[in-house]
Amino acid sequence: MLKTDKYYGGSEAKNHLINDSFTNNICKNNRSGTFLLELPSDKYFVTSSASVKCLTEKGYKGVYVSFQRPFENIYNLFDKYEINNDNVVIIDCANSKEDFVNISSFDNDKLCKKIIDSLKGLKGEKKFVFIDSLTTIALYKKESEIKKLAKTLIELKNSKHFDNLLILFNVSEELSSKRFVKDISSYADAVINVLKPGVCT
Amino acid sequence: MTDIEKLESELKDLPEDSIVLIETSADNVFQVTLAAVKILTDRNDSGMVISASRPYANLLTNYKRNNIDTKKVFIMDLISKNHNADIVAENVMFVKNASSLTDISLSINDYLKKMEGKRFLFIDSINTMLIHNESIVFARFLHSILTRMRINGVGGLLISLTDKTNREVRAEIAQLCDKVIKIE
Repeated sequence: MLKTDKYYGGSEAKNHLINDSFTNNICKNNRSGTFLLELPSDKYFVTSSASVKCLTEKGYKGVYVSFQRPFENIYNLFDKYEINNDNVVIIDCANSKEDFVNISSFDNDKLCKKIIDSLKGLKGEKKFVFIDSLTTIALYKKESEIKKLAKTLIELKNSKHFDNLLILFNVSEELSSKRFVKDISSYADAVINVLKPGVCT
Repeated sequence: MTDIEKLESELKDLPEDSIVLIETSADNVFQVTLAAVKILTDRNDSGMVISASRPYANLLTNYKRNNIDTKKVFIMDLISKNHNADIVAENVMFVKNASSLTDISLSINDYLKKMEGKRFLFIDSINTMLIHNESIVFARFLHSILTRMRINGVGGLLISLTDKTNREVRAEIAQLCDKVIKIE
């Protein structure tokens, strides 16, 4: 554990990097909502992990849709950060052998169905969907398709199946000015810079 | 603390399968590169250096001069194929140029499959590769390579010049890495 602490700043993956905007707007309330999370590119994964850790410690269970890293890497790092993997379903879109979720060829509808099925498989009231990350998808997909995926996911929170559902779109803060990210942020309830105190618009 | 000591100190505690972006100045880049390869060869059983910056012969000479165990290094030379058609060596392959991303990718895959033990991949450099490739194509290539490295438990270093990479491309690459180290 010591090595992990030094490396990724394991203490960082506990909660102190997460600012009040994140905890006040997301973790503390039993609410549904859509948020765009801005993360620093140089500490991207440790910060996204800290966000997941915060959520799971507040009783949320959810689906982590990874376009950046393969399943094993995320699972092992969550384990090192003491995130209970029982509370998180990881959908590996970085290296999936199943075409319908692989980043290079996924189908929006089929990916959404997989997310819904995974959410239904999780017991509990408070749930989240964590999309990591929008700009990585954009390496392979047209921006219009990403916006369509975002809209479909946002509609999920209005579904009768899920009362307290958070939809969290992640993006590197240096890339949040991209046009399609701006468009998606306009659908969101708030844009939260996870590291900068009080930055919530 | 010298730059090289800083690099050693930053890399010392990292898990072997970590993927790190090193940013440094143009003045320091070659010394940092040599130091990084020395650290990687000392820590691993073998590794592949993908060089878009210097040709094989020059690297080999400098590696030897810096006590780098060249038996552990396989060099993919992306710049001197046309001049070195006659070179036959076990530890080098010449790829047509730095824009031959499919060839590079297939060769890395072969390497990852063939080599056993603790392995590393070293990419020198992001900036040079970006001269020869469209940024989105290169970012997609890197995403694919880094994913395969993670699946195979292979660590590696990517070298980049500070402030010389487009801000968005840099962010895209940095977020895929486990750590960013700046050596000014």
